[in-house]
Amino acid sequence: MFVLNPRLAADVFDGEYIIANLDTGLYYSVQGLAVSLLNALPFEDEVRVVRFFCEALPQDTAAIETELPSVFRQLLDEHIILNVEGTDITAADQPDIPVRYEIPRLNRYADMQDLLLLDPIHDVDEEGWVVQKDS
Amino acid sequence: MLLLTDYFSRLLSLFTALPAYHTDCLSLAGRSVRLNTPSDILRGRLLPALSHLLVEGEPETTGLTIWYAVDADLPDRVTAPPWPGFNAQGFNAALDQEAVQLFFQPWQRQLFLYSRQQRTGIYWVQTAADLPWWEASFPFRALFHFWTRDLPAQLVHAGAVAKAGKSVLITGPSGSGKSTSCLTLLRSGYQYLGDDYVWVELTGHPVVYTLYQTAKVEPDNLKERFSDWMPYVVNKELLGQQKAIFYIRELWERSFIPAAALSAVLLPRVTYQERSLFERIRPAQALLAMAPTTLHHLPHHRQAAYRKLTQISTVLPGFRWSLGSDPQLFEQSIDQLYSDELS
Repeated sequence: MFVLNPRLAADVFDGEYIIANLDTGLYYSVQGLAVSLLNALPFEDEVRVVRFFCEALPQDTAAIETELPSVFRQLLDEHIILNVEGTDITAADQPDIPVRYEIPRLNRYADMQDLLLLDPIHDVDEEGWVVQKDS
Repeated sequence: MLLLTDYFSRLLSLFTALPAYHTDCLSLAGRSVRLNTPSDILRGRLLPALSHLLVEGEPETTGLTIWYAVDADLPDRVTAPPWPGFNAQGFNAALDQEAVQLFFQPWQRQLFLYSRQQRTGIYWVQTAADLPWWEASFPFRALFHFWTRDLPAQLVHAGAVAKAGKSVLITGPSGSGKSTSCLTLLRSGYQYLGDDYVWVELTGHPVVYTLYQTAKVEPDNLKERFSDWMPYVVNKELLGQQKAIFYIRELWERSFIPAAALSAVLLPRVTYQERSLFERIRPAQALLAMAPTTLHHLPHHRQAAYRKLTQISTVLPGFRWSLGSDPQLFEQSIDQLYSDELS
């Protein structure tokens, strides 16, 4: 079963998902048809969800078949969507039909993430305080 | 393994055993704060940034008590937190911090601890020489943040200015131009509430409160834009190693205000054009500017803080502010924003 990672903070603003991984300092915005994809969670089979959107927006089938599976994989790679097994969660009903096709996008903001490093191991004195090497 | 609650209790016992100490009382967003210390040196270094909040007499109730000292003031030495895993932001994800929170950067000999139940914070630094210079510009910042976990309030990494009773938050990462914008607007007649960290109260419509009266300016920026302020730099002798620090209330008493209703969030961005321009942005963009930089510095109880930042972004209109090079056009741009969008 595919589910939205419950450890993330996810909010919709004006039709755009803002997702924050507050543990790692990574932020994401999810736009376009990818918002409908997240709204369709939880689901068992992503192919069926993609097919549903193609049938709902037949004039955009080619674009949806090309772009939506790619964004779905990115959402999995970033652990925004998780594939969980042995859960009590049941799949959602049929997704809402999107009003129109908008290019699905996942934007990743990692500005702060490189600063979240663990401090390296230091020499310490008898009270446990770090000993500065140049002192 | 030692529990964080026991570590806190041991440290607190060193303070409560003191035969004498000095107490200062603050009023912060309508709540009272007691600062207790036996250390004249620390008091002299840390209190000026908060002096605008000082009140006479003892409050009937105390919202927050802070004890602070150096090792030499206490009856026993303080040992370092024994747990591994603190990151560069002073946070340890492996440590249970529900009851007691701890900010500790292992390369520094200072600690911030807070007990939620007792609403009591501790700031300890081994010697006055170990006090990082920036702590004097925003003293007890981590403790105030810990305290807000259970309050309808949030510290925000932002400056704030006001005019005609309406204030704007100016937010973004370090180097985005928020401090320069705030101080330039102060000089051109706007009221000032902060240039780095402010307190936002979220009971009803958001209201911003001045938290620190300090302003910090990079030395190059000081020479280029604020050279006439040089006589008022409080840390002149250390300018090569530190940002220039000013006490704004003492310089601009009539422009220094304690609080104002918030009307917008502005995201400055330095550009290489002459004109300064505003453009409306989505609430999501305001959140993506404000949350990472605030939560980077304040990593504890991020979920609760993030929710409050979401609330601010949702309630207030947001604007991208492309900062141009012409100072006159810069001032005109925000005057225009006030008359067109915030009136």
